[in-house]
Amino acid sequence: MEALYPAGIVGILIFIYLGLGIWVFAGLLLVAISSLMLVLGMNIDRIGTIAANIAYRYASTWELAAIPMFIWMGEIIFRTDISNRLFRGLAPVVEHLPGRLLHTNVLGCTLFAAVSGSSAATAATVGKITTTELEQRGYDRSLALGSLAGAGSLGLLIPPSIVMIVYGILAEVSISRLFAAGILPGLLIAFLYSGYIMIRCLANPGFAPPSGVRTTLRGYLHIGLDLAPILILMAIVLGAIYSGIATPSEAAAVGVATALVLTILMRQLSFGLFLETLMGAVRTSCMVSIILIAAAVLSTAMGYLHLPSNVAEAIAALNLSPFALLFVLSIFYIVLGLFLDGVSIVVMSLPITLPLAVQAGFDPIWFGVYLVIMVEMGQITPPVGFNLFVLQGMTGVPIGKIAWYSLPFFFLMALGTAILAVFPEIALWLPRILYG
Amino acid sequence: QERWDLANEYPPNSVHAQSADTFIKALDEASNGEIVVTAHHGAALGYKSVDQFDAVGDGAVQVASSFVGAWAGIDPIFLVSSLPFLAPTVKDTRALYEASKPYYEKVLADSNQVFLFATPWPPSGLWGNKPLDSMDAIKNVRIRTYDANGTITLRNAGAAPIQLSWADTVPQLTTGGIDGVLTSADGGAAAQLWEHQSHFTEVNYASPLQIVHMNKDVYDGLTDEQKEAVTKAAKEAEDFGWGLLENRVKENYAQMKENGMTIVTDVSSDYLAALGKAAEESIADWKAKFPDADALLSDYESRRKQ
Amino acid sequence: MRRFQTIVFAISRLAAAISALALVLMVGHILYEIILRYFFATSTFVLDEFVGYGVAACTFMALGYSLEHGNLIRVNLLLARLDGVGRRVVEAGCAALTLGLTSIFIWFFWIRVARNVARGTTSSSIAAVPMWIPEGFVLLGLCVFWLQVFAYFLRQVFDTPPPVEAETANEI
Ligand code: NA
Ligand code: NA
Repeated sequence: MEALYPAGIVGILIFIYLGLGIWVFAGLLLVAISSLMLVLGMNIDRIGTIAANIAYRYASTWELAAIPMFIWMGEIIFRTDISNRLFRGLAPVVEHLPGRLLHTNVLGCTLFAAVSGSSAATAATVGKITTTELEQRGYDRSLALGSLAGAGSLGLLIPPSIVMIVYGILAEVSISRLFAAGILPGLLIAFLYSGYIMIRCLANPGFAPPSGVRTTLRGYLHIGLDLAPILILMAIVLGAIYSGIATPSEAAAVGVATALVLTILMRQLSFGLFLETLMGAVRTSCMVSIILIAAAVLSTAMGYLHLPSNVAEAIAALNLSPFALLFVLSIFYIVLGLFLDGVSIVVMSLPITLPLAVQAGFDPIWFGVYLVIMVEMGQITPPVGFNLFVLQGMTGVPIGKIAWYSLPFFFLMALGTAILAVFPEIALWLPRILYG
Repeated sequence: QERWDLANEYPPNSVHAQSADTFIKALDEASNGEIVVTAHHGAALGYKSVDQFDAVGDGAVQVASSFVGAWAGIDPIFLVSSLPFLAPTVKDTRALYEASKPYYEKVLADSNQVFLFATPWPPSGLWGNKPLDSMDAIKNVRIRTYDANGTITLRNAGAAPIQLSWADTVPQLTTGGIDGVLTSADGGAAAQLWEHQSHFTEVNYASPLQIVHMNKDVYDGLTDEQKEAVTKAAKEAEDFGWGLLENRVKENYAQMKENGMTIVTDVSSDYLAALGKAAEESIADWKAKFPDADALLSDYESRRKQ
Repeated sequence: MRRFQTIVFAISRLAAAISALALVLMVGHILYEIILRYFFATSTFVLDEFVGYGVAACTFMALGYSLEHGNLIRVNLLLARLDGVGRRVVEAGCAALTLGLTSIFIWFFWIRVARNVARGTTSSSIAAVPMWIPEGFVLLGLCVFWLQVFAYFLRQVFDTPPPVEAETANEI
């Protein structure tokens, strides 16, 4: 219980600072500084040294670089004809699905997740393209934003994935196997999302606007033409990754270059528009990156407080049965996910939770997939939830509302985890087929 | 009671995490539980080795275990243990360590910290999809290297060194973007490189050091008994880390063979000489940067012959 | 007052132009590296290092500009319920706290940069980049941000309009 005392202080500080309305990144930094001061009695010299050191380290990591580049790619797609064509092309395809274009978020994020390794980049890129369109066409905002927040986190589960690489290095399991293990659970969750959207729209037809368009034969022929730019873009980026031309981290640059070339070929790009996309990308990625940097400082503060490791040790002391352990660990990770960003959750808890899980008979590859889903759930829970931040930044909708819209998708991920726990083969089958 | 944090960039199962854990346990015993250290392996506190030099000096963290190669830009002395083919055997590595230790101690003392002990990384070799055991065999092979010396040396040897982050290395091997990796048997085994590679060629490229260091203010604030406990624990952990080396290599080799790898150990002395020649440029570069290089190297040679 | 606001925003925009340039250079460097590696089996040997500097510079140099455009998000629970003087008081309080926070970071980054200059610290790569350069960009970006927050603070105190309209609200 003693471990929970600093947790309480940190929680209260977050609500005070963020509730005050200060910029989120500044609020997180102030929480980090105040909790080191209040709980550990550190002086400002030591705290400042720590904060500057960690901020610079995290700001200059190679893994962070994919975010501004993917956001730029999203800007290019959004501000040119590619996004219009995408919706025009998809409309007849999803015509007969209840919820119609509401599925673009899930579909778009699932596809984009195969290109991007981060959840923030996935939500930002797809969100840039879809939110305005869906709103204008009169789709229900709660389902549109909720599904986007939920599906954005698939960026971590469907390979490539930054969190999986971190897990693989720390747990000393094969990253290739982990990547393979994430694919089916990722698709499972995507199906749960789409299924939920269909059920909601069947029960409440007002969530999607009346269809109105009757697709002619000629219209169907146009689908290919309309979807061509985005499909070419995806094919080139995926092709670059899987042929070994570019690493997953480099794929973002290939995406930007391809989007630029495509829009030039489509005679869509002027210098003014180029600057507009560039400055838009700079602003959005500045917001996302600075919050990630602040969250890294907060995570370091939590590390100094020994918070995650103390709680994990308390769980270890309970000597639970495998399923009870899994349940308690899930609660633990959901609570951690309220306050910490993805990679930190993995790094700080793993030394204690992985041996526990392995001892209880869970396969380390399976546990990696499970952990990634836990991290994904943390992306859409307030007060610190990156997809929520990204969507607030993009739409201006308050974070509390977006969190509320996302709640059903949070529970769908929990359902996905439960299914995965009962049928671990969903994760383990593919790596075994591929790698023996 | 003293409560410290220890920062370490490498995973909990790595040799250096184990040495640090040994230090922590020994210190707990030697100080009768007066000094309690919490380890944060796997960069759980957020620091990389390159940050830990100032983090410890400034007192941001009391103790850290750091890869010295990362400090090459701070002082050229920290390059000596990663110079290619300078110390091919464990005995040589130890002699080189003894010769350079006073310099490490001085540079760390100048930055408000205390050198506690150092342990070696297992020697790096060449992972690949064929035996990389001759100058012909490594010609134009795309190999991932981890530092500037490796890049220079492999380029001079006719290979095609590629610098990638460790996180990108496995994906690039999977897709054939690179052909091989310069790393130890241990590092490769931890990343299960045998899923993509078939041969490990032992060339004993280098066994760079990992230094465990602590803040000087914290050290000066200890009682004499506590200081003694720190020294005793450091000695114990250092012996453990050096003793670990040979066993670890054997274990790694056994594990690699189990996973279908071929270990190439008896490469010709001509090949090693040619590689050594390719490394001369890095050694000369280092000598130009480090004024006491000749004194250090002659001390090393005399210790090596003992 | 109006003149001061305009000048500060001009500085923020200039810094943002450097951010944009950093982003373009990052993309360019990666493409160049891919071409070198794939067609010529060689490398610039400094990709992850330089791109890392790029992200840091890109993020920090754009802080002031993003703040002024309303892109740096905040939780509007309290602010949405206030207007007039009450809102200005809370806004000024937030700005003052952020100014204090930024000052702390400026001070400690200054120490880092000064030490890097004095010690001659370089990166450990083949390029041996003097570390005061990339960290200097972070410091510079923080200073620009400080100025912009200060301008924001003055606007709350004197109740004057901003030089640009926040753009986020009309994007949905
Ligand atoms: Na992904
Ligand atoms: Na959260």
